[in-house]
Parts: sequence; C-alpha cells; structure tokens
Amino acid sequence: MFKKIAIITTLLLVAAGACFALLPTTGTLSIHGSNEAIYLLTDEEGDEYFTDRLELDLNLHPFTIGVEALIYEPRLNPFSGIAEYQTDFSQIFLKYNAKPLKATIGSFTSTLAKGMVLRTYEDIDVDRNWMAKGAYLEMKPWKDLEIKVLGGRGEADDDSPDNIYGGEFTAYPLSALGIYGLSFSGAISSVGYTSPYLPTSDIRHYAGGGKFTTDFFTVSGIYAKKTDFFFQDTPVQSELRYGDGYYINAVATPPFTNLSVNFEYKNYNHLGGMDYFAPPYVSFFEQTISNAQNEKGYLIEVVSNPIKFLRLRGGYAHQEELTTFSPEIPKQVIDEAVASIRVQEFIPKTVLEVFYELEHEENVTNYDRGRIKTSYQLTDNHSIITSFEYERRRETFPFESTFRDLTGELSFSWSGLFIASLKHETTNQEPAVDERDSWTWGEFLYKLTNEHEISVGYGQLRGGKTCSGGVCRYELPFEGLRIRISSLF
Amino acid sequence: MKKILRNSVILLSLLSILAGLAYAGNAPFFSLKDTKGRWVDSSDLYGNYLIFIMFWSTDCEACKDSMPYLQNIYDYYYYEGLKVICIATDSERTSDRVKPFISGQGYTFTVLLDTDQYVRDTFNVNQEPYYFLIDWDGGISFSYSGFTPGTEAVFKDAIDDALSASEGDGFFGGK
Repeated sequence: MFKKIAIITTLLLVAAGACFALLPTTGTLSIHGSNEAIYLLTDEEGDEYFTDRLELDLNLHPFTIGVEALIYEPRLNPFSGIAEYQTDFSQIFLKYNAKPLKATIGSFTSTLAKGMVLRTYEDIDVDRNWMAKGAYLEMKPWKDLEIKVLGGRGEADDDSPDNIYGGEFTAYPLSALGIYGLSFSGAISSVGYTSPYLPTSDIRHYAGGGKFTTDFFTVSGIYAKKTDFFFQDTPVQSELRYGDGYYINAVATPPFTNLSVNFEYKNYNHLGGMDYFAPPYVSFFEQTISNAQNEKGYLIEVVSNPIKFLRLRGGYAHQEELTTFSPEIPKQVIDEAVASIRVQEFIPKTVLEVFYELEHEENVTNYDRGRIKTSYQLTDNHSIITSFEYERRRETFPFESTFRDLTGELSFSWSGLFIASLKHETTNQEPAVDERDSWTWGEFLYKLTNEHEISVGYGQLRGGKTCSGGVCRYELPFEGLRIRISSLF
Repeated sequence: MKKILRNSVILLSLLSILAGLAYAGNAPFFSLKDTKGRWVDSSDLYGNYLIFIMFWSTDCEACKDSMPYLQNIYDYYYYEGLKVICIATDSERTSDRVKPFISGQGYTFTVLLDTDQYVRDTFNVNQEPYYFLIDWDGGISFSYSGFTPGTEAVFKDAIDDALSASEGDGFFGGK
C-alpha cells in the first residue's frame, strides 16, 4: 500500500514538475529536487549496473510534500558483491515549517540527547536505513522552551518494524534576564523490538543534561540511563537489564586569539546495543570499542590559526574497556593522534597541506596515515592539485603482518567548467575480493550548468569515503566504465 | 513497471538538463541554531541581505579547503550587504567539533548547525560542499557543487551579478 502511494505521488510530482518547468515560479509555490544517476559497465564480463536516486519536493510554503526514490536496475552491492534488483521509495513525507512549529508526517530523521537516547537516520552509502515513519513535531511554545515529540515505526528491519516513541525538551531558565547561554534538557525514548527470529525487547532510555555557553567557553554534559526488558520464551528467562552512561564536552576559545581547545569524555556502561542509538564516539576515526556497552574514553583537540597563512590542528584520543570478564584478560585499549598543517599562499597562489594520523590498539594493531597535498592556481579559474598519501598497518594479532598502501592523485580544474583527475593506488596486502594490488582511476567531470554535471570515469576504484575533484562522497569498489549524472532542479 | 520508472527518471533528468532548468525560485525557509546556541531564522535574513550559503561537514575536506576563500569573500563584500552562512550537516554525534574548528581557524562568518539534516534535505543537497546565493528577493540566483582553488572566482562573479542586478544601495544591511 505504501509503495503504491509513493509511486502515485512520484508520478504526480513528476507531472507537476514538467508543467512548472515551463512556467515561472510564482509566489511561494515551487518544485525542487535532485537526481543522481550512476551507470556502471564492468570491464571484464560486460555486466551493467544502474542506480538512480531521485528526490522531489513540492513546496507550497509552509507545506512541503516530498518523496525519495531509489532504483537499482540492478545495483552492485559493495558489501556482498551481489547484484540487487530493487525499486524502493525510501522516503515519503508531508512537512510543515513555520515558526514556532515544525512537523513531519511520514519519513523523518531525529536525534534525541545527542543520540544517547535515540537516533533515526538514513545513510544510503553504507546501506543503512534506520529512519522512522510516523509523526515528528518540534516547537517553541515559549521563547524559553523547545520541545520535540515523535512516534512511529522504525525501518532497521523490514521484516519486523520497531515501535519508536520519544521526546525531548530544552529550557532556558534565565531567558527572562536575556541570558540564553544556560540551558537544561531532558529526553526519553521507548523502542519496542519485535522479530519472528529473536526474542523481543522493550528498551527505554532516559537522559538529562545541561549546557552553559559564552563567547569564549562552552561546557555541556548528558547523563543517560537504559532499561531493557528482554523477553525470552518463558517468563523465567525474561530479564530486566540496566545500563547508564554520561558524556561531557568542554570547549575553550580564548579571546583575542585564533585558538580553540576541545575536550570530550565518555563513559558508557551497557548503554548501547540497539539500532536507533548513536552516542558520541569520542574518537577521530569514528571508532567504538564496544558499541557503548563497556567503554570509557576522552579526546583533546587543538585548532589554531596563529598567523594569517598558517592553520594548525592536533589531537589525541584514548578509549578503553571499563571491565573485562576476568582480571587476567587485558583491557582493550585504543589510542589515536592526528595532526595537520596548512600553509595558504605563503608562496603566492600555492596551498600546502600536510596531514598525519595514528591509531594504536594495544597488542593488536598499529595504523598510521600521512598525506601531502598541494594546489597551485595557474589563473583565477585554473588550478592544479596533487596529493600523495601513504597508509601503513601493522597487525600483531592474530598474526603478525604489515600492510602498506600508497596513493597518488593529480587533477586539473577549470572552475565552473570541468575537472580532470587521475588517481593511482597500490598495496602490498594479500589480494582482497577483487584480487588486485593496484588501482588506477581516471575521471572527467563536466559542468553542463552550475546545477547539472556529468562525469565519466574509467579504471579501477578501491572504494570508501574519498574527497576528489572538489567533492566528498562514498565510492563503491568498482572496475570498468562509470557515468554519473547529477542534477539539482 | 521498473523499466518504465527507470526510463521516466532518466527522461526527467535529461529534460531538466535540456530545458536548462536552474535551481531557482524562492529559497526554502529555515530556522537553526548557531554555534553559540542562538536561533537564526531565514525570515530575518531573506530580503535584508545577500546571502551566500555553504552546506558542509567536519569530515568534508573540500568543504574545509573552501573556507579561507569564503572568509576572503565575506571580508571583501561585507559592506555590500553580503552574509556568508555555513550550514554544518554534522549529526549531534560530531556537532561538538564544529565550534572549535570554526573558532580555532579564526572564521567570522555565521555557522549554523543542521544536526538532523532537515535544512539540507529541504534544499535537496545531494553532495558536499554545495553553495547557494540568495538574492535580495529571497530567491536562489546561483547554486554550485564542489570546490577547487579557482572556484572562488565563480562565486565572485555570481555575487557581482547579484549586486549589479539589485536595487540595494550597497550599504551594510542591504536594501
């Protein structure tokens, strides 16, 4: 039923869009959207894959009707390597947005208590659709009070949608004095998991926190508690489990300096373990030792712009398990460090950036990565960018081994018109699924207009989150010819 | 049915390109908090300023590469009534890193937090960085994706076009 509604809505919006394309937009009525189509032709076997993501919104302020369609004809799944055929309407919604109220009926994303109570979201690049379908309301009934309320069905498991409810308030007790730097908040959520295969759970989170912020200093903290009533086959086996945790953040930005110091601390004890839960990592690499079940850690980061052409960043993070099963078992510990230096136009028309990061997991692995990137501006509109990067990983558990990866990239840009880039990667790892130890990728991106671009690439892509040609996106591993058409309209 | 839908989508993409559709019309309304916790409402901005918006996140290197150039543009056009607004799409998991990054790098333009990506979705942004120029009438007169050194010249051209097309007196505060 939902798909039929989504199909009909999409076709109506497409028809409306075609009509509006020939008419000037008037008043507050407009239709907008974006489309990204990716066509893949593999090198050896001649297979073809097509993926399209279309978003369409009809705006009649303060209302917006929207739909997002994903079409795989088929899609090359980067995780399973299997071709998937699918036409999926991942979102359909009606939104209302006018002060002091913001509401959504249909698909929505939301975060409560910084993800320590609830987070619903969609990340198509990693195949994660944990959005909710239902109703979401955000309002400011008074200038010193903000409220969020939501309810619906979660989509983490298509076979057995989960029931999700939640709410959050933020109050500014000193607002009458014109002081909005002090706030207190509270949040609550309930997620009822049902599954034909696993025992069900009824998980509830509660949280309270506060924040004090000035122009030069900010400190905030959240304490959260979880109760998980875990249903087994018999009442005897059912159990009530508890967890709690807290997160603290402090930022100092001394006056008359371009300097900031950021401190984060986490302590999570059986707080995690569900899909719609995403507390702060307190990590530079989005790492978590135990998915918020048994960990603590801290992070310090310093960012500075001491003189005009010099920008600096450095940081250190440490996290470890709270407890282990036995005193004889050592705790899992991860240490991270990052540093970067950017020199902008000390040499005219030149930007130089050096970046280094390190991750050390005791008795398991040592990982470091370094990158040098330079750009030179030939003219006002033309530039050349080069980058060289190495990655090194030393594993000590379960076996000793060392991997080293090297990546070089060269691109030429004519702003507003095209970007041509060439990238080469090598590794000395044992060949992975695609049985390669080197990848070469060339791409030409042409801007038909500011809003429409087409890119043609050929070669081998290793995949992952990459920033190339002035845009950052997740690239799936691939070999062959790729054509991408991206539009905003 | 699937082929019909796919072909319809491809056809729409090509038609929109051939028709030369620009991302124009009225800019979506939004209301977000800045890094100091103060609410910023688009209704207070639209019509009073020329607004240059960038959608970015702290893990987007190209976005951060463009910021020194945006600061230069902001400084250069400040008294012409230009406001630069960088909307961070970091979730609440990483949004605490936005303020220290901006403050530590000495940027003075406005930075807003879109932790639910609500405004990003309202603008239909499908990659980062993405830039929009909102003119004096609250309409979108320019949009652009990606950044490499030299792209700032494209931004300046768009801003100059908007200034010369406007009726503003160029004094701080716009019209």
